[in-house]
Amino acid sequence: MENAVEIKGLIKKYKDFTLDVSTVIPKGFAAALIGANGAGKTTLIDTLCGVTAKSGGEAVYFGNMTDTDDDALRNRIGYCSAANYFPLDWKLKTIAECMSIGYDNFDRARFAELCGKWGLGSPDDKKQKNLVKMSDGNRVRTALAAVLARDTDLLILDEPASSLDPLARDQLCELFREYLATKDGERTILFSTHNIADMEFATDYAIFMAHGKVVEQGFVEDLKEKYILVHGDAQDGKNAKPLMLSYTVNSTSFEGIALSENTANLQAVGAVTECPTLQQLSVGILRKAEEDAGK
Amino acid sequence: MRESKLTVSQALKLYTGTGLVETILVLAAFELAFYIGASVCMTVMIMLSEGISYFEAVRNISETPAGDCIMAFAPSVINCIVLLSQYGKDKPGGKQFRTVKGGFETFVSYRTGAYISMIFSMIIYGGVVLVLSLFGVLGLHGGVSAAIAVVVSVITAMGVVTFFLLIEDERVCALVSVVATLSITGSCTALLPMLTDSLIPHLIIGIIGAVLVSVSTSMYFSHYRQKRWNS
Repeated sequence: MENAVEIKGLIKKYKDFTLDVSTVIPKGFAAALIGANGAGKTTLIDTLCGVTAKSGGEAVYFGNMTDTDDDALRNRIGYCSAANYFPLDWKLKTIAECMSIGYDNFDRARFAELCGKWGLGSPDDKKQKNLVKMSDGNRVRTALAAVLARDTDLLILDEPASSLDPLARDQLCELFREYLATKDGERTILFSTHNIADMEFATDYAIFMAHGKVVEQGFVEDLKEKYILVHGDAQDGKNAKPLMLSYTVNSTSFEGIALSENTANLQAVGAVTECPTLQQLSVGILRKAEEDAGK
Repeated sequence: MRESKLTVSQALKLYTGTGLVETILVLAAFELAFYIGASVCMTVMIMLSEGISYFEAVRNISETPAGDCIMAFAPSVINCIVLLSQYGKDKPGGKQFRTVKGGFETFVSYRTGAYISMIFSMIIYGGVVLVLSLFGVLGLHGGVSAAIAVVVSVITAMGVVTFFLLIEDERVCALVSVVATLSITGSCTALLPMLTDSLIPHLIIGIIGAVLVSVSTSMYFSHYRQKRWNS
């Protein structure tokens, strides 16, 4: 399997935080970056896009490119952050003009098409709203329309679904699929999200982060085979707990995740096991990471 | 590092949404609007308080450097705003601008465009203010000398403020920049016409300003790239 990006010991040091990541982003798939607030998702994304300089390590893009200051690489990466991506006094027309100047591969017609699809109006309309007068959701839609109108090979999106309503998130998933379907498997998406349930349909590969490190990664289908969701009555919990990776209990029931190799043993102590959703998997893996960090 | 360069006007449009010529005209228009608003307000106050006509009030203002100071202060604030717009990563557009064609070189072109815009807008501004005073519409004590003084003093202030941009704390930077700009432009524009009939001091201040801008921008770009561009 080819990788769109190979991250080898990428380090970014701040006074109170260190990002230290080694992972891969497989080519042709949508990879979700999942983690609690402060886990380092935005730092990793910013470092990969050249917005923030790395302190050490290396990221290799498309097999042989490493310099994020190289325009050839810049042109192949479409980056978008959910918050304040464009100056707030800009209108759709300004965005279209500036994107045309700033990137070689911006398609104004595609931008107009996406704006129309999301009900934002047209960059050619006479009367247009400034971004500051748009809702948060429409600002994010505008930024996404702008970045999706570029002919890129790798989309890196920081919290693209954060301000979107459920319908828009569904449309975003469709756009991800559409993006990946073109160029014969050569395109890749990396996005961070907290809306795991809504974005599961668009997620092929998941990278879980905690405290600046990758704590788990893999194709979603593989992870769902590797882990099981475990739940049951509270009185069975103490027998199940030693076999589980994460465990929460209330007065009536317990829940958590475990490795699937423990399925038979867990069922023997009265626990119910089933295939987890990505959301349940995320909660379990991140809870385990928090517990490990606390030890 | 391979980069395709954008022109100064393209870089300015990319960052601000307006090209070089449009930016010059917009800046000059704002500067003139500030000046005309403040001058007319002062003239009307004098007219009403002393019970004289508008043109008599303009003549009274022309006898003191008060009109010259207004002419210096009006564009100073606008130029400060332009100089202090640095598009940090935490500001709207800041992250996107770090991913555009040319990267930091485009930022340098944008800042260069901003300086060119300020200088040319000041030349237009000084010229229009001079014409208004010659026709007796608004009062100016120093005449041609004051109009030239405001242009060269703003260039000098731009150089000084660019040094202040090295200050990490944005509030301190803004405060000292505004104070320095108003002091430099106000004192030069009011004092130069009173102290000398020659334009040589204006020329010297203009040269000092050009040297300051050149040295300070060079230091600023080096500092910004190292500390703020993608730190």
